[in-house]
Amino acid sequence: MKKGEVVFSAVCVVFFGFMAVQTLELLGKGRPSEMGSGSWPMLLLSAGAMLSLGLLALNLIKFLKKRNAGEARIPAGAAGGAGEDGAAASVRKKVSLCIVALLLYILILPYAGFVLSTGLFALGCMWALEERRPWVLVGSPILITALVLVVFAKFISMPLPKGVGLFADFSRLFY
Amino acid sequence: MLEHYIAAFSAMLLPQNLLAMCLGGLWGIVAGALPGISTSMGVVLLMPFTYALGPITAFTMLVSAYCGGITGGSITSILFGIPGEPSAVCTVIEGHAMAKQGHAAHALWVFIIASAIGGIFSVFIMMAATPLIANFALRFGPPEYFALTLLGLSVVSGLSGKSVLKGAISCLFGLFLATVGTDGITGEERYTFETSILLGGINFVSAMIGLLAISEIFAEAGEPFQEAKGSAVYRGLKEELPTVSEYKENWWTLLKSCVIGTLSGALPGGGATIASFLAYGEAARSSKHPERFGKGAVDGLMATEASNNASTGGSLTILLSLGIPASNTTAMLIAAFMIHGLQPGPLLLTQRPDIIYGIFVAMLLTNIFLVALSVIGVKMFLQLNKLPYSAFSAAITIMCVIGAFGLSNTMDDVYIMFVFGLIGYFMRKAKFPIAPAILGLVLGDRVELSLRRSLLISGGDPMILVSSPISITILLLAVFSIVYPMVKKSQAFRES
Repeated sequence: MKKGEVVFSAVCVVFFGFMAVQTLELLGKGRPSEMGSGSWPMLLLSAGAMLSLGLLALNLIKFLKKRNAGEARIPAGAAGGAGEDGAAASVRKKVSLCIVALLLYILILPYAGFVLSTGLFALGCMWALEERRPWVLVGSPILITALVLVVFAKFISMPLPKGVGLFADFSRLFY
Repeated sequence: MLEHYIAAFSAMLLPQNLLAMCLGGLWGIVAGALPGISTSMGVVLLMPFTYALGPITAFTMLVSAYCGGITGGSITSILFGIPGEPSAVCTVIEGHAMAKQGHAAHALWVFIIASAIGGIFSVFIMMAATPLIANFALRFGPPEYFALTLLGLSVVSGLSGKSVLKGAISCLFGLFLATVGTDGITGEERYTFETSILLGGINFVSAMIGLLAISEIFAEAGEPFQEAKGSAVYRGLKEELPTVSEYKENWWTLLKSCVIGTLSGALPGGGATIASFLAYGEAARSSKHPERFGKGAVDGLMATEASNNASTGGSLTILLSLGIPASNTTAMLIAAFMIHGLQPGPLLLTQRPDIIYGIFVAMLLTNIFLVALSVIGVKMFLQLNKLPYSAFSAAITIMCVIGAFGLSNTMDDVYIMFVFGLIGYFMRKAKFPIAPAILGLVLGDRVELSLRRSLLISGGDPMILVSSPISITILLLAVFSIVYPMVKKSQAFRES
C-alpha cells in the first residue's frame, strides 16, 4: 500500500464532500413531487463520499500495518533503497516534464499558432522522454508537424489555430 | 430488410468507404499490436479524422478500427510474447509457445483465420439479433430505460479490475461529472462555478481523450516502451501455410468459442478478455490433447482468437439495439454517434437504417478484409516497432490535442482534456480503474433523465421503477451482473 493511494482516497472524500456542500444550494428547488436538479447529484455524491471514506479507512489500516511490518525489517531492505529512490525520481522527472511540456503547448497554441507550437512541443516532449539522438530530435518534429498539417489543415480543412500578429503571418505561409 | 442490405452493400463499395475500412482496419491492427495503445485508445485517436466525414464512412472507419484492434492485439503476443491487449493473454500462452518452437507463421495463420471466423460468426448473429432486440425495446418507457441504463452501469463490476470499491467510486465520479452544466429539465446551472466553459456541461469526448489517452501517455513516460527483444524467429507467412484438416479437426471448438465470444461480448461486463479466458478454459477442458495446453496447443489458440473476435459482434448488438455500451470501446463508439448527432438505441434502426445496416455490412467486410490486412499488419508492425517511441508519444499527444480542439474548434475542450489527463494519471497511480468513470460519464445523463421522467409520470412514486415485468427483469439482471463477478472474485480470492 503506497502513501499515494491513501492521499488519493482522502482527496476523493474531500472532493465528494465539497461538491455535496455545493449541492445543498440546489436542493429544495423545483415543484413539489418533482425530482429537483440537486437530488440526483446529492445521491451520487453521498454514495461517493461514503465509499471514499470506507476506502480511506481500509487504505489507512493497510498502510499502517505495512509500515509497522516494514519498520521491523528495515536493515534488510535498506541496501536497495537508494537505487529505487533514484529510479523513482527519474520517472517523476520525466512525467513532470511531459506534463509541463503539454501545458506550455496548449497555453501558447492560440498565440503562437499550430505550426510553431507543435514543432516546439514535439521537440520538448521527446527531450523530456530522454531522446538525445540529434536526427530524431530534428527530423521528427518537422515530419510530425508536416504530416499533421497535411492531414488536418489541408485534407480535413480543420481551422487549426493560426496565432496572433507575426505568428499568424507565419502560419498563413502553410495553411 | 433486403433493400436496406442492398443499399448498404452499394454504399460500402464506394471508394471512400472501402478506403475508410482499410485505413481503419490497419490503424486498429497497429493500435492493438502496440503495447502502449489499447483498442479503445485507438478508436479515440481515430475520432478526429472522422469529424469531417459522413456518418457511414466515419462508422465504417471506427468499427473497422475496433475489429482490427482486437485482431492486432495478437500479433505482438505471438511474435514477441507481449500481449498488445488484455484479451490476448491466452494467445501469448499458446501462440508464443508455437512461435518459440519455430512455428511463428503457423501460429499467425491460425490466429488470422480463427479471428476471421469468430468475427464473421458474430456479425451474422448481430444482423439477426439487433432488429429483434430493437423492436422489443421500442416498448420501453422511462422506467424500463432507467433499468436498462442501470444494467449498462453494472458493467462496472467487470471493468473494475481488482477492486470493485474503487470501480464504484470511479463510476460515481463519472456519473457526477455528467451532471455538470445546465440541467436539461429545470434549466438550472449545476457546478459551473459561474464559468462559461462548464455551462454546456463537460464534453465527454474531450474528457475521454484526457482520461484514456493523455493519462496513458503520462504513465508510459514513466515506464519505457517494451522493446521486442528476444522475439521468435519469423521469416514470413509463406513458410507455413495452414491446412484444412486442422480446422476440420477443431470445428466444434471453433463453434463453441464463437458462441461463447458473442454471448460474452453482449453481456455487460463481459467483453473480449472474459470471452477469451472462458473459451480457452472450455477448449482445454474438452480437448483430446489437454497435455499440449501451455506448450503451443493449436486448438487453444483457435479458441482464444475466435472468441475474442466474436465478442465484437456481441458488444455492438447491444450498443445498436439498446444504446448501452457492453465494453469500454463501445462506450467510445457512443461518443462517436453523438458527435454525428445520432443517439444509438432502438429508434436509430427506424430513423437511420442506412447507418445500422451500413455498420452490419462494414463489420462483415472488415472481418473478411482483416485476413489480408493482418498480413500487411504483421509487416507494418515489424517496421513500426523500429520507430523511436519518443516521437511516437509526441505524435499521439498532438493527435489528442487536435482531437479535442476539433470538437468545437475552441481551446476550451483542449483545457478540459488536459485537466482530465491529469486526473486520469493520478487515478492510474492510485490504481483506480478509468473505464468505470468513462462509463458513468457516457451513461450519466441518460440514467438521470430516465429516473426523473419516471418520477414525473408517477407523481414522485418510486414504485414506478419496478412496476413492469420488463423493468423488474432488467433490474434483476443488473443486480446479478454486479453480484456475480463479485462472488466469483471472492471465491477466487479464498481459493488463492
